[in-house]
Amino acid sequence: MKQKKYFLFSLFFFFLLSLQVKSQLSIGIEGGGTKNYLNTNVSNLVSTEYNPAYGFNIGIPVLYKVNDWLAFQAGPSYIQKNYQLARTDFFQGVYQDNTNTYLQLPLMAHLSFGGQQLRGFLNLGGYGGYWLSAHIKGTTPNILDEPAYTNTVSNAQPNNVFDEYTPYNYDEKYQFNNTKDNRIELGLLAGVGMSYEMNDKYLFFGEARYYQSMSDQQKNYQINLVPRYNETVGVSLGCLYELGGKSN
Amino acid sequence: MKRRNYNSFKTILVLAVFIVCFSSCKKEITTVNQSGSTLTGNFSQVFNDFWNNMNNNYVFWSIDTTNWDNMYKIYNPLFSKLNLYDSSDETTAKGYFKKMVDGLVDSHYTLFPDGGFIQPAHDRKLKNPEFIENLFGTAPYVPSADGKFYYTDLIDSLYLDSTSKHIAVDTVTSNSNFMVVSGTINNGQVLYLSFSSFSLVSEYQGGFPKVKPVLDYFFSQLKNTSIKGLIIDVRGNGGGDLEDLNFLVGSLISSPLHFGSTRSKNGNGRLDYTPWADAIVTPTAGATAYTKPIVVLADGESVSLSEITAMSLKTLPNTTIVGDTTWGANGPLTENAVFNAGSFNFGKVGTDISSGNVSYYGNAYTSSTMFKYINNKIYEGKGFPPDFDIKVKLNQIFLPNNYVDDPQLDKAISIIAP
Repeated sequence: MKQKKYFLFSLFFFFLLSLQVKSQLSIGIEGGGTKNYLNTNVSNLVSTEYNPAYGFNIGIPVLYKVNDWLAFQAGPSYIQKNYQLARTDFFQGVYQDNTNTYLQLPLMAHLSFGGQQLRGFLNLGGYGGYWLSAHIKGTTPNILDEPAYTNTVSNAQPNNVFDEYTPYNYDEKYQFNNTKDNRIELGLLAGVGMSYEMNDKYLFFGEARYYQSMSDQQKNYQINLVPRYNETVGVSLGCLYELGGKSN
Repeated sequence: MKRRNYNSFKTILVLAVFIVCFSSCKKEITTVNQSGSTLTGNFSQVFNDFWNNMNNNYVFWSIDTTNWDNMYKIYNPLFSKLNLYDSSDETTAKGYFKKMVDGLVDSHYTLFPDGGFIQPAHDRKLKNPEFIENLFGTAPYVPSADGKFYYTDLIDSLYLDSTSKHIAVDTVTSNSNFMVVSGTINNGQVLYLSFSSFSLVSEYQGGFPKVKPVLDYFFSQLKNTSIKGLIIDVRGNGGGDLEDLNFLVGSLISSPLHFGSTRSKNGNGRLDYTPWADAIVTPTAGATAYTKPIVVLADGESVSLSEITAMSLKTLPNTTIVGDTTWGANGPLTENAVFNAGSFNFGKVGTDISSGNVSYYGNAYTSSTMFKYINNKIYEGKGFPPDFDIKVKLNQIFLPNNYVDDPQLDKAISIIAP
């Protein structure tokens, strides 16, 4: 809880600070989709795999221009890093969709190149995030919910786990475990995109960005813990508005 | 302008150094071997295979007080000093295994290291001076026809109305020594059912032919209007097939009975759990709710499905439990692959070339799921308490002159037909 407060405070502080230097400053809005991979190893688990899943992100990019080709950018954002845990083969149908929402602050060097209006850019930097909430939806075999007893002996061979067990469907908020879940995420990012400046005031852009978490999604609560890292690709569109006059 | 560009370059350089340094912080994603897949040639490898399998497959880490990391720190160096092919080291190893698992809360838990047998819950029971193992099997009475001594034989002789006695002892099938007794007590006022293990469906549908008539008698008497109530006796019953729950309890209810929930593992981490899934008894088609008093007789040797049966019936308003606190093994078991949790082999020591049979150093028998009762309490390792705690001793049961008494059954009868 304390960590969450500090994080929100620093976001707010950064925003205030940015307003102080508005002559070289642009602020805007961006949004788009994400695809997240959970990078871990479950090869020892029978017929089990993690699949990537799609989500969305929205953010408020803030750009501080140093010169024509260099700027620094921050973009407090609300981003989903979703994934699916799925069973295969005989266990097909057992799954869990994990919808994870992070409040994230990327800090980047913004390197731009090209013409006056249409420019390409690269973003390089790091980010800090807070795992705000999680939701799980899925199906699992229910060992204590057998079908009603019938006085018939069946010799039918099961083709799937749900021929033997009643499925239990769930759709609920994930309850974080303070011992296990590491809700602070730190990582690196790289982005590439194009921007178009209009009326010296508006900058429209599209960007593809790659986030690599460097912090394990789990706290180090046991020996031989297999780490889990989010790896996220995001594509977003946005617009920046330059505060104050145009700087050259 | 040049100065500004130089500063910018410096900033980018600092950023690049930061990125390179930061990226080295990421931990390596390790591989965990599939249960029993790796050949183990020495005790150190056997230990590691066991320790990791416990880490991944044991479902009670969220409530267990055993510090499993400490076990690694203590026993990893000790096992590495042992020789797998030295008989005295084998004995030492079994002693280490026993100490490692001694405090595990899972009361199904049984470890079979190289032909050994370690059951922590059983060891804990024996330390309790009030616990009498196989209480009624120790009686100095003439054994039954099959050579076994059954408590219910005494019930039969003392309590059951002679015209109502229905008894079957399976001496034929692989489920040999299965026994079921039903009848009435107190001149037809109380219906009684007892059975030695939960293999009712398999016996009923194709087991020992004399079992079905006993159970049919019991089910038919549920509709007998002159009977005032029912006693289900699961004392000394070690549990069995889950399908028996709907077969027996499902015949006493007319709508689904939600009595708790279960959860298992969904990952390698000790605390990776599935959500809690509702535990439900589904009524048998056409069953009507049994609204007369039900008394479940349970004791310290009522294990697993015996406890689940008592607990599910206890959610009905007309059920009373009489006897002693149950064993405390509530977590249902199934094949490991279903949840990637529960029982496992460890320490693969070889494969027979001609038959393909794989040999393991040992096996751990452990629950696949954790059970939580409807009141949100977990009774694993504690046992389910009775409403009327009536502890009995041998000298209370086996009275002089070959006379026997059963204070727990006396209490059960008094609840139904005072």
